[in-house]
Amino acid sequence: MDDTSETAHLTKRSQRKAVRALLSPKDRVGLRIQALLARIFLPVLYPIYLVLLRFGLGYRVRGHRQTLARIRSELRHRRDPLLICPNHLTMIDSIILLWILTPWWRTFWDLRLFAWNTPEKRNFAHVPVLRFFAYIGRCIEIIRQAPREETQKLLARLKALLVHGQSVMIFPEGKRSRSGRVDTEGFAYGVGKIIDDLRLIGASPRVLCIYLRGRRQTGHSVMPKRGESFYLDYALIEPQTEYRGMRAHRDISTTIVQKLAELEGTYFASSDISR
Amino acid sequence: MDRTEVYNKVVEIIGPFAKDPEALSKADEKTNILTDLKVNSARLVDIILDFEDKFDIEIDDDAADQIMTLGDAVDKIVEIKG
Repeated sequence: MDDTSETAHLTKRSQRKAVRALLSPKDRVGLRIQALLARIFLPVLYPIYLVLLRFGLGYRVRGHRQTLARIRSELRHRRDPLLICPNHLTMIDSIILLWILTPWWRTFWDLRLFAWNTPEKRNFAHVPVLRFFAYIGRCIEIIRQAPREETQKLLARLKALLVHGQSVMIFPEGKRSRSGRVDTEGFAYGVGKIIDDLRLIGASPRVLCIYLRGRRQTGHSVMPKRGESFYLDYALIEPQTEYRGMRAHRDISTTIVQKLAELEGTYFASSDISR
Repeated sequence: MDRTEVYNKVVEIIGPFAKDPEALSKADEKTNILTDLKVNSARLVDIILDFEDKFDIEIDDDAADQIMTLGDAVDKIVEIKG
């Protein structure tokens, strides 16, 4: 091992130690068990999503393979924390993105892009089957406006997953856009806080901003229309900021949301041309 | 700057973020910023940063988390300004 790789290895070890200290033993074991069960069950259960989305609902994505190949190629050489930050228009955006980003055969050994998710508990936890699928599908349930201790626990779990090379999907707008466009005013700053915290322990988190939109999607909805054809675009960024604390969280979150708005601008410009 | 001046300025800063202007007009120090004034929780960070800019102070994360009511905000600002 040369000096550079040894330093990198030591740095990663200290980052993992730093976030591990934030987790209780119970949380650490809980995450490991969930990760293990997901690894075992996903190859078996994932085809259900696939059949439902591809054949049941007839969804398709233009340029899917080429875009996925480009994303994988850009991510290949670094295993830094990766946040996946998409725009948010329907309640099944995260499921569609998991399907888009991870082909079925990859679930047997490569779950790098099968991101951990943070769905709102009230949306699914009352239905046992949904709760099971959410657990196996690597979801960590959240409660909006939870007490501070709960939020700290959640952030600690997400940071632990990220420094261990897992990806986490967070919708930076915080909710489905009510205007049908990326909400550049009312977004939350949670994603900025996670990234800033990781930077403070020496990590270099990257953000895969993804713009996904059904061609017939006009506003927000529960699900995209049946037979929908999706437009997909992305940008891989490493947000920087000169600020500290909450100002840094806001600045980083703003950078991500602005990037999504830029991707949206490209979509509407290309839609105008194709009309 | 006395407590009343700080309180008035706090109300002025929160004003644009409050979705319930009527509650704001009847507010007192016990008024909860999120539940009574219907301020979006994500905007609480903007409010804290506005406090920092307008009062020329720094409020750390832990202190910010303790601000629930208008009175809490006034207490914290008065405490930091000394």
